[in-house]
Amino acid sequence: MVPFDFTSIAAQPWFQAWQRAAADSMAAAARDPRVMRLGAGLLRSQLLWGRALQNAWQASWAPIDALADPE
Amino acid sequence: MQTHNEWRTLGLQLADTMDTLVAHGARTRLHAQAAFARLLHGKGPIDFVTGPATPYRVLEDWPLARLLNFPSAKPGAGKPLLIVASLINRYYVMDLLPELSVIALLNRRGFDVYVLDWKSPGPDGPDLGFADYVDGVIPTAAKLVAARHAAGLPAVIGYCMGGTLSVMFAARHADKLRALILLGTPVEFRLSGELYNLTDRRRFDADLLMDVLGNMPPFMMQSGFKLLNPFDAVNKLVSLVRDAGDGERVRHFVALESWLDDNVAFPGGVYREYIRALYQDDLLCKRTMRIAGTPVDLGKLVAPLLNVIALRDHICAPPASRALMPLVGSKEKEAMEFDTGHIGLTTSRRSLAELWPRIADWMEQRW
Repeated sequence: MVPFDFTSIAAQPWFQAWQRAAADSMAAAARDPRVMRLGAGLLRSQLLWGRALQNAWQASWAPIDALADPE
Repeated sequence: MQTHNEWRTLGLQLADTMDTLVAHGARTRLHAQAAFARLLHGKGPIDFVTGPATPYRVLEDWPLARLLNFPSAKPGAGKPLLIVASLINRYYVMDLLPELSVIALLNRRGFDVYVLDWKSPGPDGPDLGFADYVDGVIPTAAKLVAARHAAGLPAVIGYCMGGTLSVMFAARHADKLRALILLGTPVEFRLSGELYNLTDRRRFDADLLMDVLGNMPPFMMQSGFKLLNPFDAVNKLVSLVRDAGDGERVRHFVALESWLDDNVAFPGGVYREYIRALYQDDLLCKRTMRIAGTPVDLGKLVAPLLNVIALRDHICAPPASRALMPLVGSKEKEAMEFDTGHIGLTTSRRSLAELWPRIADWMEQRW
Protein backbone atom coordinates (compact mmCIF):
# COMPACT_ATOMS: atom_id res chain seq x y z
CA MET A 1 0.00 0.00 0.00
CA VAL A 2 1.28 3.47 -0.84
CA PRO A 3 0.73 5.68 2.22
CA PHE A 4 1.13 8.94 0.30
CA ASP A 5 1.09 9.23 -3.44
CA PHE A 6 2.92 12.45 -4.14
CA THR A 7 3.15 11.54 -7.82
CA SER A 8 -0.47 12.51 -8.33
CA ILE A 9 0.25 16.04 -7.10
CA ALA A 10 3.75 16.52 -8.51
CA ALA A 11 2.68 15.31 -11.94
CA GLN A 12 -0.28 17.72 -12.14
CA PRO A 13 0.13 20.38 -14.84
CA TRP A 14 -0.82 23.13 -12.37
CA PHE A 15 1.90 22.01 -9.95
CA GLN A 16 4.54 21.89 -12.67
CA ALA A 17 3.45 25.31 -13.93
CA TRP A 18 3.83 26.65 -10.38
CA GLN A 19 7.30 25.11 -10.11
CA ARG A 20 8.39 26.73 -13.39
CA ALA A 21 6.94 30.10 -12.44
CA ALA A 22 8.58 30.02 -9.00
CA ALA A 23 11.94 29.01 -10.50
CA ASP A 24 11.76 31.76 -13.13
CA SER A 25 10.80 34.47 -10.65
CA MET A 26 13.50 33.47 -8.17
CA ALA A 27 16.15 33.40 -10.90
CA ALA A 28 14.97 36.81 -12.13
CA ALA A 29 15.13 38.21 -8.58
CA ALA A 30 18.63 36.83 -8.04
CA ARG A 31 19.84 38.40 -11.30
CA ASP A 32 18.22 41.77 -10.72
CA PRO A 33 21.09 44.31 -10.72
CA ARG A 34 19.73 45.93 -7.53
CA VAL A 35 19.70 42.58 -5.72
CA MET A 36 23.19 41.79 -6.97
CA ARG A 37 24.42 45.19 -5.80
CA LEU A 38 22.80 44.66 -2.41
CA GLY A 39 24.27 41.15 -2.05
CA ALA A 40 27.72 42.32 -3.11
CA GLY A 41 27.51 45.25 -0.67
CA LEU A 42 26.53 42.99 2.23
CA LEU A 43 29.31 40.54 1.41
CA ARG A 44 31.82 43.37 1.10
CA SER A 45 30.87 44.95 4.42
CA GLN A 46 31.11 41.56 6.12
CA LEU A 47 34.54 40.96 4.59
CA LEU A 48 35.78 44.42 5.55
CA TRP A 49 34.71 43.74 9.14
CA GLY A 50 36.46 40.40 8.94
CA ARG A 51 39.65 41.95 7.65
CA ALA A 52 39.55 44.68 10.31
CA LEU A 53 39.16 42.06 13.05
CA GLN A 54 41.99 39.99 11.60
CA ASN A 55 44.26 43.04 11.47
CA ALA A 56 43.37 43.92 15.07
CA TRP A 57 44.09 40.32 16.13
CA GLN A 58 47.40 40.38 14.30
CA ALA A 59 48.36 43.71 15.84
CA SER A 60 47.49 42.44 19.31
CA TRP A 61 50.21 39.80 18.94
CA ALA A 62 52.90 42.28 17.97
CA PRO A 63 54.30 42.79 21.52
CA ILE A 64 54.40 39.04 22.14
CA ASP A 65 56.07 38.40 18.79
CA ALA A 66 58.58 41.15 19.52
CA LEU A 67 59.39 39.61 22.91
CA ALA A 68 59.73 36.14 21.43
CA ASP A 69 61.86 37.28 18.50
CA PRO A 70 63.89 40.39 19.44
CA GLU A 71 65.42 40.54 15.91
CA MET B 1 57.79 33.12 16.20
CA GLN B 2 54.68 34.51 14.55
CA THR B 3 51.95 33.20 16.81
CA HIS B 4 49.08 34.82 14.92
CA ASN B 5 50.24 33.07 11.74
CA GLU B 6 50.09 29.74 13.56
CA TRP B 7 46.47 30.51 14.44
CA ARG B 8 45.78 31.18 10.76
CA THR B 9 47.42 27.88 9.77
CA LEU B 10 45.34 26.08 12.37
CA GLY B 11 42.19 27.81 11.07
CA LEU B 12 42.84 26.70 7.49
CA GLN B 13 43.55 23.12 8.63
CA LEU B 14 40.35 23.15 10.64
CA ALA B 15 38.43 24.44 7.60
CA ASP B 16 39.66 21.45 5.56
CA THR B 17 38.54 19.05 8.27
CA MET B 18 35.14 20.77 8.38
CA ASP B 19 34.79 20.39 4.59
CA THR B 20 35.37 16.64 4.90
CA LEU B 21 32.84 16.38 7.72
CA VAL B 22 30.30 18.41 5.74
CA ALA B 23 30.72 16.07 2.75
CA HIS B 24 30.13 12.98 4.92
CA GLY B 25 27.20 14.70 6.62
CA ALA B 26 25.63 15.58 3.28
CA ARG B 27 25.90 11.98 2.06
CA THR B 28 24.20 10.73 5.22
CA ARG B 29 21.49 13.43 5.00
CA LEU B 30 20.78 12.55 1.37
CA HIS B 31 20.40 8.87 2.23
CA ALA B 32 18.00 9.81 5.02
CA GLN B 33 15.97 12.04 2.68
CA ALA B 34 15.90 9.28 0.08
CA ALA B 35 14.81 6.70 2.66
CA PHE B 36 11.96 8.98 3.79
CA ALA B 37 10.87 9.60 0.19
CA ARG B 38 10.95 5.83 -0.47
CA LEU B 39 8.89 5.26 2.64
CA LEU B 40 6.18 7.54 1.21
CA HIS B 41 6.04 5.13 -1.73
CA GLY B 42 5.89 2.13 0.61
CA LYS B 43 9.42 1.01 -0.32
CA GLY B 44 12.56 0.26 1.66
CA PRO B 45 15.77 2.34 1.63
CA ILE B 46 18.39 1.97 -1.10
CA ASP B 47 21.82 0.44 -0.48
CA PHE B 48 24.39 2.96 0.73
CA VAL B 49 26.01 4.73 -2.21
CA THR B 50 29.68 5.37 -1.49
CA GLY B 51 31.96 7.71 -3.47
CA PRO B 52 34.00 6.39 -6.39
CA ALA B 53 32.61 3.20 -7.93
CA THR B 54 35.71 1.74 -9.61
CA PRO B 55 38.67 0.39 -7.62
CA TYR B 56 41.98 2.17 -8.20
CA ARG B 57 45.63 2.21 -7.19
CA VAL B 58 47.25 5.27 -5.67
CA LEU B 59 50.47 5.78 -7.60
CA GLU B 60 51.58 9.04 -6.01
CA ASP B 61 50.47 11.07 -3.04
CA TRP B 62 51.70 14.62 -3.53
CA PRO B 63 50.78 17.58 -1.30
CA LEU B 64 48.37 18.98 -3.89
CA ALA B 65 46.97 15.82 -5.47
CA ARG B 66 46.95 12.06 -5.59
CA LEU B 67 47.69 10.32 -8.87
CA LEU B 68 45.25 7.44 -9.24
CA ASN B 69 45.41 4.61 -11.74
CA PHE B 70 42.44 2.68 -13.12
CA PRO B 71 44.08 -0.07 -15.19
CA SER B 72 42.66 -1.05 -18.55
CA ALA B 73 40.62 -4.22 -18.92
CA LYS B 74 43.29 -5.40 -21.37
CA PRO B 75 46.46 -5.54 -19.25
CA GLY B 76 49.60 -4.22 -20.91
CA ALA B 77 47.77 -2.96 -23.96
CA GLY B 78 46.30 0.16 -22.39
CA LYS B 79 46.60 3.53 -24.00
CA PRO B 80 47.39 6.08 -21.28
CA LEU B 81 44.85 8.76 -20.51
CA LEU B 82 45.26 11.46 -17.86
CA ILE B 83 42.13 13.11 -16.46
CA VAL B 84 42.41 16.59 -14.93
CA ALA B 85 39.29 17.40 -12.93
CA SER B 86 38.21 20.84 -11.80
CA LEU B 87 40.31 22.07 -8.87
CA ILE B 88 37.29 22.37 -6.59
CA ASN B 89 35.56 19.08 -7.45
CA ARG B 90 36.39 15.49 -6.76
CA TYR B 91 37.14 13.49 -9.90
CA TYR B 92 34.53 10.80 -9.27
CA VAL B 93 31.80 12.65 -11.12
CA MET B 94 33.29 10.47 -13.88
CA ASP B 95 32.85 7.37 -11.72
CA LEU B 96 29.59 7.86 -9.85
CA LEU B 97 28.06 4.40 -10.02
CA PRO B 98 29.27 1.11 -11.51
CA GLU B 99 26.67 1.36 -14.29
CA LEU B 100 27.28 5.08 -14.75
CA SER B 101 31.03 5.42 -14.94
CA VAL B 102 32.98 7.15 -17.69
CA ILE B 103 36.20 5.71 -16.25
CA ALA B 104 34.87 2.14 -16.41
CA LEU B 105 33.74 2.75 -20.00
CA LEU B 106 37.20 4.04 -20.97
CA ASN B 107 38.81 1.03 -19.26
CA ARG B 108 36.60 -1.30 -21.28
CA ARG B 109 37.67 0.52 -24.44
CA GLY B 110 41.32 -0.26 -23.65
CA PHE B 111 42.46 2.98 -22.03
CA ASP B 112 44.65 2.95 -18.95
CA VAL B 113 43.10 5.80 -17.00
CA TYR B 114 45.08 8.04 -14.67
CA VAL B 115 43.38 10.70 -12.60
CA LEU B 116 44.61 13.72 -10.66
CA ASP B 117 42.50 13.72 -7.50
CA TRP B 118 42.97 17.21 -6.03
CA LYS B 119 43.51 17.52 -2.30
CA SER B 120 42.46 20.34 -0.01
CA PRO B 121 45.20 22.98 -0.18
CA GLY B 122 45.22 23.74 3.55
CA PRO B 123 47.60 26.44 4.87
CA ASP B 124 49.65 26.39 1.63
CA GLY B 125 46.65 27.48 -0.46
CA PRO B 126 47.10 31.26 -0.21
CA ASP B 127 50.65 30.97 -1.63
CA LEU B 128 49.80 28.68 -4.54
CA GLY B 129 49.38 29.90 -8.10
CA PHE B 130 48.59 28.54 -11.56
CA ALA B 131 52.30 27.75 -11.97
CA ASP B 132 52.10 25.09 -9.24
CA TYR B 133 49.52 23.22 -11.30
CA VAL B 134 50.19 24.12 -14.95
CA ASP B 135 53.99 23.85 -14.67
CA GLY B 136 54.07 21.60 -11.60
CA VAL B 137 51.62 18.82 -10.84
CA ILE B 138 50.14 18.28 -14.32
CA PRO B 139 53.40 17.97 -16.32
CA THR B 140 54.92 15.84 -13.56
CA ALA B 141 51.94 13.48 -13.72
CA ALA B 142 52.00 13.40 -17.55
CA LYS B 143 55.72 12.56 -17.53
CA LEU B 144 55.24 9.83 -14.95
CA VAL B 145 52.36 8.30 -16.90
CA ALA B 146 54.31 8.40 -20.18
CA ALA B 147 57.24 6.61 -18.51
CA ARG B 148 54.95 3.71 -17.54
CA HIS B 149 53.69 3.05 -21.05
CA ALA B 150 55.22 1.73 -24.22
CA ALA B 151 52.30 3.47 -25.95
CA GLY B 152 54.02 6.74 -25.10
CA LEU B 153 52.54 10.10 -24.25
CA PRO B 154 49.12 10.24 -22.61
CA ALA B 155 46.05 11.94 -23.99
CA VAL B 156 44.79 14.50 -21.49
CA ILE B 157 41.11 15.04 -20.64
CA GLY B 158 40.32 18.31 -18.87
CA TYR B 159 36.90 18.94 -17.38
CA CYS B 160 35.54 22.42 -16.56
CA MET B 161 38.27 24.39 -14.78
CA GLY B 162 40.50 21.33 -15.17
CA GLY B 163 40.06 21.93 -18.90
CA THR B 164 41.27 25.51 -18.59
CA LEU B 165 44.31 24.27 -16.66
CA SER B 166 44.87 21.61 -19.34
CA VAL B 167 44.70 24.21 -22.13
CA MET B 168 47.44 26.23 -20.42
CA PHE B 169 49.46 23.07 -19.73
CA ALA B 170 49.15 21.94 -23.36
CA ALA B 171 50.24 25.37 -24.60
CA ARG B 172 53.30 25.40 -22.34
CA HIS B 173 54.28 21.71 -22.43
CA ALA B 174 53.38 20.60 -25.95
CA ASP B 175 55.91 17.76 -25.75
CA LYS B 176 54.17 16.08 -22.83
CA LEU B 177 50.81 15.06 -24.31
CA ARG B 178 49.48 13.19 -27.31
CA ALA B 179 46.06 14.83 -27.60
CA LEU B 180 43.81 17.16 -25.62
CA ILE B 181 40.13 16.53 -24.92
CA LEU B 182 38.18 19.30 -23.23
CA LEU B 183 34.78 19.01 -21.55
CA GLY B 184 32.73 22.13 -20.77
CA THR B 185 35.86 24.27 -20.70
CA PRO B 186 35.63 28.07 -20.58
CA VAL B 187 38.28 30.01 -22.46
CA GLU B 188 36.63 33.32 -23.33
CA PHE B 189 35.24 34.02 -19.89
CA ARG B 190 33.16 37.08 -20.74
CA LEU B 191 30.94 34.71 -22.74
CA SER B 192 30.57 32.16 -19.95
CA GLY B 193 27.18 33.38 -18.72
CA GLU B 194 25.93 34.18 -15.24
CA LEU B 195 29.15 33.30 -13.43
CA TYR B 196 30.81 36.09 -15.38
CA ASN B 197 28.15 38.54 -14.14
CA LEU B 198 28.56 37.34 -10.56
CA THR B 199 32.30 38.02 -10.66
CA ASP B 200 31.97 41.44 -12.31
CA ARG B 201 34.91 43.54 -11.09
CA ARG B 202 32.58 46.43 -10.14
CA ARG B 203 30.97 44.26 -7.48
CA PHE B 204 33.30 41.40 -6.75
CA ASP B 205 36.65 41.74 -4.98
CA ALA B 206 38.47 38.40 -5.03
CA ASP B 207 41.47 39.85 -3.21
CA LEU B 208 39.39 41.05 -0.26
CA LEU B 209 37.66 37.67 -0.11
CA MET B 210 40.97 35.79 -0.04
CA ASP B 211 42.57 38.25 2.41
CA VAL B 212 39.89 37.27 4.89
CA LEU B 213 39.31 33.60 4.09
CA GLY B 214 42.73 32.40 2.91
CA ASN B 215 41.23 29.70 0.67
CA MET B 216 37.82 29.75 -0.98
CA PRO B 217 35.72 27.36 1.10
CA PRO B 218 33.34 25.01 -0.72
CA PHE B 219 30.23 26.46 0.92
CA MET B 220 31.04 29.89 -0.56
CA MET B 221 31.65 28.38 -3.99
CA GLN B 222 28.40 26.44 -3.68
CA SER B 223 26.45 29.57 -2.83
CA GLY B 224 27.65 31.10 -6.12
CA PHE B 225 26.53 28.07 -8.11
CA LYS B 226 23.20 27.98 -6.29
CA LEU B 227 22.56 31.57 -7.30
CA LEU B 228 22.57 30.43 -10.92
CA ASN B 229 19.38 28.49 -10.24
CA PRO B 230 18.05 29.42 -6.79
CA PHE B 231 14.92 27.25 -6.97
CA ASP B 232 16.86 24.14 -7.93
CA ALA B 233 16.98 22.79 -4.37
CA VAL B 234 13.15 22.74 -4.20
CA ASN B 235 12.85 21.20 -7.67
CA LYS B 236 15.26 18.44 -6.67
CA LEU B 237 13.32 17.60 -3.52
CA VAL B 238 10.05 17.50 -5.46
CA SER B 239 11.62 15.18 -8.04
CA LEU B 240 13.03 12.97 -5.31
CA VAL B 241 9.68 12.53 -3.58
CA ARG B 242 7.84 12.07 -6.88
CA ASP B 243 10.28 9.52 -8.35
CA ALA B 244 11.32 7.71 -5.17
CA GLY B 245 9.47 4.56 -6.25
CA ASP B 246 12.22 3.95 -8.83
CA GLY B 247 15.25 2.66 -6.89
CA GLU B 248 17.69 3.27 -9.76
CA ARG B 249 16.70 6.93 -10.05
CA VAL B 250 17.10 7.38 -6.31
CA ARG B 251 20.57 5.84 -6.36
CA HIS B 252 21.55 8.17 -9.19
CA PHE B 253 20.12 11.14 -7.30
CA VAL B 254 21.95 10.31 -4.06
CA ALA B 255 25.23 9.59 -5.86
CA LEU B 256 25.15 12.84 -7.84
CA GLU B 257 24.01 15.06 -4.99
CA SER B 258 26.59 13.53 -2.64
CA TRP B 259 29.27 14.33 -5.19
CA LEU B 260 27.99 17.90 -5.48
CA ASP B 261 28.49 18.33 -1.73
CA ASP B 262 31.95 16.73 -1.72
CA ASN B 263 34.33 19.53 -2.71
CA VAL B 264 37.81 20.70 -1.91
CA ALA B 265 38.63 24.30 -1.09
CA PHE B 266 39.86 26.49 -3.93
CA PRO B 267 43.50 27.43 -3.16
CA GLY B 268 43.45 31.15 -2.30
CA GLY B 269 46.36 32.17 -4.53
CA VAL B 270 44.94 30.34 -7.54
CA TYR B 271 41.50 31.82 -6.87
CA ARG B 272 42.88 35.35 -7.02
CA GLU B 273 44.56 34.61 -10.36
CA TYR B 274 41.56 32.73 -11.72
CA ILE B 275 39.07 35.50 -11.01
CA ARG B 276 41.30 38.45 -11.88
CA ALA B 277 43.18 37.14 -14.92
CA LEU B 278 40.46 34.98 -16.42
CA TYR B 279 36.98 36.08 -15.34
CA GLN B 280 37.67 39.78 -14.97
CA ASP B 281 40.46 40.46 -17.50
CA ASP B 282 39.91 37.54 -19.90
CA LEU B 283 43.65 37.37 -20.55
CA LEU B 284 43.75 33.83 -21.94
CA CYS B 285 41.78 34.57 -25.08
CA LYS B 286 43.47 37.97 -25.44
CA ARG B 287 46.76 36.03 -25.59
CA THR B 288 48.22 38.14 -22.80
CA MET B 289 47.98 35.57 -19.99
CA ARG B 290 51.22 35.06 -18.08
CA ILE B 291 52.13 32.37 -15.59
CA ALA B 292 55.15 32.92 -13.36
CA GLY B 293 56.16 35.78 -15.63
CA THR B 294 56.12 33.85 -18.90
CA PRO B 295 53.35 34.06 -21.51
CA VAL B 296 50.73 31.40 -22.23
CA ASP B 297 50.58 31.39 -26.03
CA LEU B 298 47.58 29.39 -27.23
CA GLY B 299 49.18 29.29 -30.67
CA LYS B 300 51.68 26.85 -29.15
CA LEU B 301 48.88 24.42 -28.33
CA VAL B 302 49.54 22.08 -31.25
CA ALA B 303 48.25 18.76 -29.92
CA PRO B 304 45.19 17.28 -31.65
CA LEU B 305 42.21 18.88 -29.95
CA LEU B 306 38.68 17.66 -29.28
CA ASN B 307 36.52 20.32 -27.67
CA VAL B 308 33.32 18.81 -26.24
CA ILE B 309 30.66 21.45 -25.67
CA ALA B 310 27.41 20.96 -23.74
CA LEU B 311 24.65 22.95 -25.38
CA ARG B 312 22.72 23.48 -22.13
CA ASP B 313 25.77 24.30 -20.02
CA HIS B 314 24.91 27.01 -17.46
CA ILE B 315 28.39 27.10 -15.89
CA CYS B 316 30.33 27.40 -19.13
CA ALA B 317 28.02 28.70 -21.85
CA PRO B 318 28.86 27.17 -25.26
CA PRO B 319 30.31 30.39 -26.80
CA ALA B 320 32.93 30.51 -24.01
CA SER B 321 34.24 27.10 -25.17
CA ARG B 322 33.82 27.60 -28.91
CA ALA B 323 36.09 30.65 -28.68
CA LEU B 324 39.11 28.35 -28.22
CA MET B 325 38.95 26.83 -31.68
CA PRO B 326 40.42 29.71 -33.76
CA LEU B 327 43.04 30.51 -31.09
CA VAL B 328 44.97 27.23 -31.03
CA GLY B 329 47.74 26.10 -33.32
CA SER B 330 46.47 22.49 -33.61
CA LYS B 331 46.12 21.21 -37.16
CA GLU B 332 43.66 18.52 -36.07
CA LYS B 333 40.85 20.12 -34.12
CA GLU B 334 37.20 19.33 -33.73
CA ALA B 335 34.34 20.80 -31.71
CA MET B 336 31.80 18.16 -30.67
CA GLU B 337 28.50 19.63 -29.46
CA PHE B 338 26.05 17.59 -27.44
CA ASP B 339 22.63 18.45 -26.08
CA THR B 340 23.13 18.15 -22.33
CA GLY B 341 24.12 20.24 -19.30
CA HIS B 342 27.52 20.82 -17.69
CA ILE B 343 27.37 17.83 -15.34
CA GLY B 344 25.28 15.77 -17.76
CA LEU B 345 28.42 15.47 -19.92
CA THR B 346 29.67 12.78 -17.55
CA THR B 347 26.66 11.69 -15.50
CA SER B 348 23.76 11.19 -17.89
CA ARG B 349 22.95 7.78 -19.31
CA ARG B 350 22.53 9.33 -22.75
CA SER B 351 26.04 10.84 -22.65
CA LEU B 352 27.49 7.46 -21.72
CA ALA B 353 25.58 5.73 -24.49
CA GLU B 354 26.00 8.30 -27.27
CA LEU B 355 28.74 10.84 -26.50
CA TRP B 356 31.54 8.86 -24.82
CA PRO B 357 31.79 6.13 -27.47
CA ARG B 358 32.37 8.96 -30.00
CA ILE B 359 35.02 10.54 -27.76
CA ALA B 360 36.71 7.14 -27.29
CA ASP B 361 36.66 6.60 -31.10
CA TRP B 362 38.30 10.00 -31.61
CA MET B 363 40.98 9.21 -29.02
CA GLU B 364 41.72 5.75 -30.46
CA GLN B 365 42.50 7.35 -33.81
CA ARG B 366 45.27 9.37 -32.17
CA TRP B 367 47.41 6.27 -31.51
